[in-house]
Amino acid sequence: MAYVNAVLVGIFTGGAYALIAREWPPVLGALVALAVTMAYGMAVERLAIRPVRHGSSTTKLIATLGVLALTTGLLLLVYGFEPTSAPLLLPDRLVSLGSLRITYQQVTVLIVAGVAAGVLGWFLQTTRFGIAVRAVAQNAETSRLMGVSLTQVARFNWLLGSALAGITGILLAPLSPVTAATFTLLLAKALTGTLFGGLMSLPLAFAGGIAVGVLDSLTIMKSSSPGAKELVTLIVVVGLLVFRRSWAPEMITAPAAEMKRPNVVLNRIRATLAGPWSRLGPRAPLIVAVTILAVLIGNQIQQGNTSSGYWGFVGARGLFFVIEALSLVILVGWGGQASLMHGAYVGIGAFTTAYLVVERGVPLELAIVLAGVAGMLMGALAGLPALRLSGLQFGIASLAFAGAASEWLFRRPEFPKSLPRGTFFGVDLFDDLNLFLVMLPITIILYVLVWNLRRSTFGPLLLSSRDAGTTVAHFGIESMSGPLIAGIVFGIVPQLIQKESGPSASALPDVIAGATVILLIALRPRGLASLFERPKSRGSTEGSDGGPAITHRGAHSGRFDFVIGRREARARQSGNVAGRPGRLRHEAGIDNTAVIEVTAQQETEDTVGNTSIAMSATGSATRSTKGARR
Amino acid sequence: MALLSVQGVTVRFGGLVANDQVDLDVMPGEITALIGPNGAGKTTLFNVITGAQAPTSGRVTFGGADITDLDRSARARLGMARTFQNLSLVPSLSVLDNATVGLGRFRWAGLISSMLSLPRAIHQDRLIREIATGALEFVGMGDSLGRLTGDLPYGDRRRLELARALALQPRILLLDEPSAGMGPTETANLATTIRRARDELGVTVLLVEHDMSFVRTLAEYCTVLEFGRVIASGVTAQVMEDPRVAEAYLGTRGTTGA
Repeated sequence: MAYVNAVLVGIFTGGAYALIAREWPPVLGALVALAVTMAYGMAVERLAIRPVRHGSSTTKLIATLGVLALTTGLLLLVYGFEPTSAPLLLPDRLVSLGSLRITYQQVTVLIVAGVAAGVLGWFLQTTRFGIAVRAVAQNAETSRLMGVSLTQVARFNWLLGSALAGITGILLAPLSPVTAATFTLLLAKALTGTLFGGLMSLPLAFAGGIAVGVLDSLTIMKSSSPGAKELVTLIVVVGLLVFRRSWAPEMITAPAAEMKRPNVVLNRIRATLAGPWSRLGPRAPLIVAVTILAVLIGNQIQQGNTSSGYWGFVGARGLFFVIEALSLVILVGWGGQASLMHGAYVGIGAFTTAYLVVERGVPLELAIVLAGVAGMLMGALAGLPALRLSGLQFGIASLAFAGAASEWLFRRPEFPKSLPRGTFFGVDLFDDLNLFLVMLPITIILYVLVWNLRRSTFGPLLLSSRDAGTTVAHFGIESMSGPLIAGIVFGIVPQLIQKESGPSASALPDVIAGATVILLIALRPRGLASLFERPKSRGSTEGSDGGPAITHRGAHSGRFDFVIGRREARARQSGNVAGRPGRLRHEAGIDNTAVIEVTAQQETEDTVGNTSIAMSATGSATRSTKGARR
Repeated sequence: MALLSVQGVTVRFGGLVANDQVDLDVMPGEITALIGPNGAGKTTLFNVITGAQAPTSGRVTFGGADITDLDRSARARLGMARTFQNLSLVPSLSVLDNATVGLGRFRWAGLISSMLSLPRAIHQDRLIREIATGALEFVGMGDSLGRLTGDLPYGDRRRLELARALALQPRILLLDEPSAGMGPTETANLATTIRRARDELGVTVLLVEHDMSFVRTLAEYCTVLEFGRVIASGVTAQVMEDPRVAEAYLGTRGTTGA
């Protein structure tokens, strides 16, 4: 349920803000806010959650976090960064209970919470629909077979959930100042709390939540440095993830539920949504992107350089997000890792470049290279422990990292807040069109690199490790961290360019919003990975991913024929087959002492094996029971 | 000498003893079955052999080398391939792509060369796809290479899993309930394919199975587990005659009620 909660926090803040913004009587404002919140909840359910309800838990998580980020973006857009507080709903009076004095508002919070819990409990326990809701939570498929409408239940859940969250927001907003910017951090802390319980145990999560709160308050008291408490949160998360060994298995491996039931419903939704695109095939997004670029470039030429600055700027921004999307495709789409720290990676590169140029006077060309190296090192440093995790854990770790980066790292006085655009190998980057023209080839090169990765046999490996969890380990593959690190590194690339398009610190919210858009694209049919899909000709013998295909079928040279004789197998084992790459043997026999022993012994064993096969072929019933112990 | 040998393996989950001093030898070139009633500890033993579960005590050797402490991928690189009881294929990939996953241990071109499409990477990918195609042809799926795995019927998915395991070019093939959920015709075909894998590819086979008739027709040797202990072991026909085995499966006369 973590994913639902994440969104609800967003809606909660939405409710609070709607209340604050209206200059109406508090009660009317509250009602409007509640209505807005509920409508928003319904829209989220319909647009983002329902399409992925059959997806893996990682997909759902990504969907949720996308909505979360979008909510933040919207709130920032509408209400800005400044903390605000709401007017009180009730007269500012106090109730005395012995020595305890509490306000009307606080009393109301308690009463509403109690009544809501009671009504909800009664509803879920006794009414028909309530029981259906509970049944769906236990086993959605079976409930559906029994005639429960999943859509209805989901809609109800969201309506109720967002209404409750909205009420909470409205009641709590007057009690403490709220800002949109900090609420991702709020979520990071809440999730850190649940990590104590391995994301499963409620009591431990409760204790963890309190522990995080106490740590937070203690840090504020001990240190006045900004962002210190976010740093502490990050340390706690990393510590927990490293030292807490036993995780519930479902937290580590995403269930490959798709195999069991074909996604008839999802496929239909996809088909409907695909609509006009379907004729273009899954390459539609690519075609659209290319068309837009072509139009843009044509526009440039028509209008001449000077007046096309605006379009150059738009194009450059577009390319920036294309590169960012590429890195997310590898990391999120194929690797199944819900990374929430891409903005932070962008920041690392941007601020390092700014520091080198402004504070150290390094020329821009060199600074970009140095910042790239620094960014990769820091990215690897932050990413490596995280890559040992997966799914939700990785999401939480990256969220904590993002929080610490934006609240602590990027606010260090060493980092200048802006970077004037200079020249890049003689090209004046102050001209937006030039910026675009510099970025275009870089983007194309990166796209080709990623395309090659998908086309190679790495692609299936990545997808298998995402969908089928531990399977790849059973086939001799250590880990897929290589491509995932590549994903992170790619994430660092765009900052090298992005930082030139404006003052970097103020661009950060922009980046958050942009990442949001990309995450949301990930939800759409076929997801981000669709950028690299090819139409599959079913039933044909054509290779699925455009490789040299299987043209040599039936023409196995014997060199790599699968059905190999024993003698040949032995020859291969000792690397005697002509023309065979030497490395293959090296890889096959890995540098492992145990392997060398085995190889040495195989000769004799194979002989034994041959004999026994010969025996079984004659159907001898009197074979000794050498194979089994009594 | 046994290719795979399990010696005195004990696995405890808290107070529950899932495997109790289990011994099992798999001779090279033979098909050996591990059978037993539900909850006998077959899957636990299978997990110990594949490296998914560490034994509380005891050893596992493969080709004479102690592999008890090796992890799953190291075992795979020694030539152990397995299939999964609840299939672990990627539905959104083609049949051929899924089969290439089995060849991970033969990779020699790295990430960078794959991204740059260097000749070594192209060469590697061609060889990998060829071998995978060979494996698919071996199990009789040569004409559905480009099909989407999610579109395959259940029996074909099982065969695809088998092809993926064979693509690893294993010395031993470990099959976890290969006939689960299959009809009689499919089961018979599967038995033929497994026997052919042994006869033509020289792969040793160890299978965990429920279906007694499947075991009887396919396996030369058989080990029976009950309550985590080995109660019978040897040539299949003799093991099936063993009164203790019948008792484990059917109960004894007189205990079934008055």
